Amino acid sequence: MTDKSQNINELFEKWILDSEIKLNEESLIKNLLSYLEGQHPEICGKCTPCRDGVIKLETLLKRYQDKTATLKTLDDIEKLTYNLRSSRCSVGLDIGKNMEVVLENHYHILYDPVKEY
Amino acid sequence: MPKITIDNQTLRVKKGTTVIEACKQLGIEIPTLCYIKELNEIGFCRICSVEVEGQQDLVTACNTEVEKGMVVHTDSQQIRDSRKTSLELLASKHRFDCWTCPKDGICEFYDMLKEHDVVFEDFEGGEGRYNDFIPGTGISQDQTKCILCKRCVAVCNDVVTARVLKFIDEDGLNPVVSPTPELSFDETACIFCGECVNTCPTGALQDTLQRNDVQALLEDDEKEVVLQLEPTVYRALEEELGCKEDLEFSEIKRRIHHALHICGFEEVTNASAFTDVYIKKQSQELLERLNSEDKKMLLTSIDPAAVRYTELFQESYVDAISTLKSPHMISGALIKQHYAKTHLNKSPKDIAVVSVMPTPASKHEIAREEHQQKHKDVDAVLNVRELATIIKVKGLALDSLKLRDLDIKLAELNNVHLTFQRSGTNLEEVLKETASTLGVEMPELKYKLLVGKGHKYSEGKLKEAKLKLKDHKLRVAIAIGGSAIKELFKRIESGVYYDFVEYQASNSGCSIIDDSAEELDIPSHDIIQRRMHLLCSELEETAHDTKYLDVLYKEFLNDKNESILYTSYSPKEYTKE
Repeated sequence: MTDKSQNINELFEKWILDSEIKLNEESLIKNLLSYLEGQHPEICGKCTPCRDGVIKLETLLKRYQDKTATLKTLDDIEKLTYNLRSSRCSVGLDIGKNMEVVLENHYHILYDPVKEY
Repeated sequence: MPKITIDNQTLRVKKGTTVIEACKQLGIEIPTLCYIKELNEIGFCRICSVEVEGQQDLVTACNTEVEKGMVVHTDSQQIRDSRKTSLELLASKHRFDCWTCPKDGICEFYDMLKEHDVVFEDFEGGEGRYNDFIPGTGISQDQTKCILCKRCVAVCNDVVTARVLKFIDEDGLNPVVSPTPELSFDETACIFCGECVNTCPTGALQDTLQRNDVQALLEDDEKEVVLQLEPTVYRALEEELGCKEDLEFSEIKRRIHHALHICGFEEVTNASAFTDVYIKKQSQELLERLNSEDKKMLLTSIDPAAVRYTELFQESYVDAISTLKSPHMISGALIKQHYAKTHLNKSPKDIAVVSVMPTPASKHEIAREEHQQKHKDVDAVLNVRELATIIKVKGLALDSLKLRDLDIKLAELNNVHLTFQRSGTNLEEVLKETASTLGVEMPELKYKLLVGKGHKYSEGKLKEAKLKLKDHKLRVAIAIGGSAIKELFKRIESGVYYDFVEYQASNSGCSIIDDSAEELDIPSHDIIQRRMHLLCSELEETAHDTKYLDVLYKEFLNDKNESILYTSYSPKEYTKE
């Protein structure tokens, strides 16, 4: 594990996984993106959910930044997150677990901008 | 024998069995893209994910061994969603121009997207991971279609043993399957056996297409195009063209000839028409080697892929290869140099010969520098699908084609010598011919199977036999598949001497050991497997007409002209890294 990804892991645990922390949409997405990007050096490229799934997750999260996210974007994020459970090694599995916790704790932050009535 | 439960059904399986194999025993087919039994159980594609009770994460059925008391669920909404998402991810990096793809209709990936109801809008992209196209004379690779399943790498390494294709994952997010970067297939040690093309679940690896060259020849008014077909190709064509009626073989043949004539082929001949020449000449070569003082092994030159294997990896045995050209090249040479003059009244330059062959090695063969003489023996090589496309483009349907007597000159050639397809082995035919030259009866060959007892795809087959022909005691062998060929050369190196060897580099192509094609579990699309079976099937035709051959032997094949039947082989170099 590189220093960068270790730092990011710590940061992630501290700021994102903790449901008590109050984050706004902008900082959540920013932190999530930097966490996912920090995982790039760990990805070995062998299995689909991790190799292609993480990149796809980033693309979807960036839509929040561009204000182009829709309910389907969130739906796809959930699907990709669940799919990381079929990853080949702990890199993908861990990313999946962390993302699952994020979705659990901060779902409202991701849901608010895309909710439809 | 652990007891396990799969989808509420309990069964006992052998220890060490994978979940996927256990499911098979219950008739449950788990979808896979990267899996080849015992060869590529790597769990890259994650399509075969299943749920195991007590496990938090999904596990892959292809490389998880069963455990005592395991409870497996293979079909739940979550599993289906996971499979669909993985397929969407793969599809987002695959270019969809299916109608131009050589594997259109026989694409496992396409079938799976269809089965899992993957919607185009959901995955977006569809652009292709890389845009590179790696050229080669026999095989090419379109990287926009690669889904990184690594099946070709496993086959190239363990079945063919050429180790050309590699999974390069220096950059984990952008791995690539290719030969050494920057090299074309011809610069590598690729022998063009076509195993990777057959096993590729998409159209990433493909036979190099020569259909456009043939179209150009057909449109050239100054050229008369002669097409050589193996009789088995008719059956494969019938299937490819989707003939609905249940027709007699002779009728199919007539209709196909009619269609080919409309497409612009002036003459259709049997590719094995001159096999008789090949067998006679090879038998002569065998006798010469048996009688010479320094005995030298004879390797058949019938499979261009095996010949290239020798040139690349077994330099010291290159001079053992029979200097005869392969049968379709001999046929091409004789059509141009003799048949054109005697029957068509044309000069060689006005004739173009097109062969339909089952292996991409033949496509490479015609591009070999040894064959770049003034008049090429064979101008282009097509596979069955390419020929079918030429017919389809013309809008010709076999069902509606009228049966009429053709005015094209379907020469006597069509009826010559079909034994080659029927008995399947060139080796036996050559030995029979040698026996008859020596004036003795051919003894029955009793083969001893040295490799391939387990009918494994990766092993191939190697068998040997001993026989006596007059004063000569012979030891002969047949090897099929790269690893069997490797084993053969190992035995030769260790001091085993063979007088005559027939070898073929592709395990799944037209098999020369009658039982192997059916028994091997070959990892490729069902249609490809059926086609292989058709191309290896026996035909009932037994017609013999050697009138033309008699003329050929008497009038043409003298010392002066015989050289057109021969070629030369030399060690070939390739770039290792």
